[in-house]
Amino acid sequence: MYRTLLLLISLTLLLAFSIAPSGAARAQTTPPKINVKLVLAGQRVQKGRAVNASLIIEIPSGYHVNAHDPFSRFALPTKVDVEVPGGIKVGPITYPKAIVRKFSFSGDRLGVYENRAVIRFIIMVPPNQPRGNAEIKARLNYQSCSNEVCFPPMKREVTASLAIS
Amino acid sequence: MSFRSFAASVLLITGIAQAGAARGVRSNKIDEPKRAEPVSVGEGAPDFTLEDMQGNQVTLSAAKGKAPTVLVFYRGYWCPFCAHQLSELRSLLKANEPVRFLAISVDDHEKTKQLMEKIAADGNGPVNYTMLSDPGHKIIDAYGLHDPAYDGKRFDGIPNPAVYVIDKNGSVAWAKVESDYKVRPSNADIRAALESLN
Repeated sequence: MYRTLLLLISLTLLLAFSIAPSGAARAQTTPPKINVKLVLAGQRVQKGRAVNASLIIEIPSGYHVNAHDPFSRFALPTKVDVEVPGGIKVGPITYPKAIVRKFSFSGDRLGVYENRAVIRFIIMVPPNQPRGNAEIKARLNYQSCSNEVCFPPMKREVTASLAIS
Repeated sequence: MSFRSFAASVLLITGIAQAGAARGVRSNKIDEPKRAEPVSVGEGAPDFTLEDMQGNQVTLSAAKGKAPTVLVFYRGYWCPFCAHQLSELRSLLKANEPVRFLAISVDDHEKTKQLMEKIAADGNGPVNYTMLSDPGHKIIDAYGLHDPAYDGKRFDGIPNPAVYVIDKNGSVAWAKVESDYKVRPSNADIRAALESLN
């Protein structure tokens, strides 16, 4: 019984030591899992009307994404490009106000987004737009960082379907 | 099961688990690194030819017998530590000092030029050394600087940051390779290495 207990403890310790270094390495180099979704205020819109769109970025605790205006010239800004079918227009893209933070990796103050950031724009459908489904595509470019380090920039593409009636 | 056979099984399982974990960190699906350990002091610096931002071919050994070389490997245009280091490095050399200074990353020309413009935007002068692109990370691999954390990812080939001082004969006289990408040698450290060549 004593030997078995001793062996189990040893095994636990050995496994803990063998896993810990790779876990620490991952923590330093693996970007956070950031959820991005495109939400339209309505899934259906009449010709000649507009619909509000929101690109929602969900950022895990302990991480941030550089804001659209990150203040520092070395921080890569968050940018959104929106692609819509011909005839449909996209209104100005409004980025949320940056939170100002100071991090160990930068001498500058940085403008960032934390937790949840919502980027808004308007999709305008002209009166002569044909009926049918329109695919709204948003491309997000961002750079995420922890409190200590920044990760290579990422590109994400999300789509939403808009029925034009 | 006897105590001895149980203990042997435990050791075997642990060994297999450790080997698997090591493979998970080090494997490269596309191409195994050419060199596992970084080039170190006393070795001949692997020769290379890379293109600079003006489209000129730059060969390391062209300086052989003429001038020492400072060779910097940085992680990329997106790395704030690197940007600050490269900003500081503008003041490393004295005016007309007979030292060649090259900086290498996997970034393409467009990204490298963007970074150079951002560095120059502080009003303290343009980048006064030669920036080189190694998009296939062959030179980074040849110097053993490949960071396996990015294997198979969009930024595969990112190096661990490194600074080499290479003497006139093409040998590595001083090297600082960091696995912690937050740490960089100071200009004073590199300066001291250059002074020690005389």
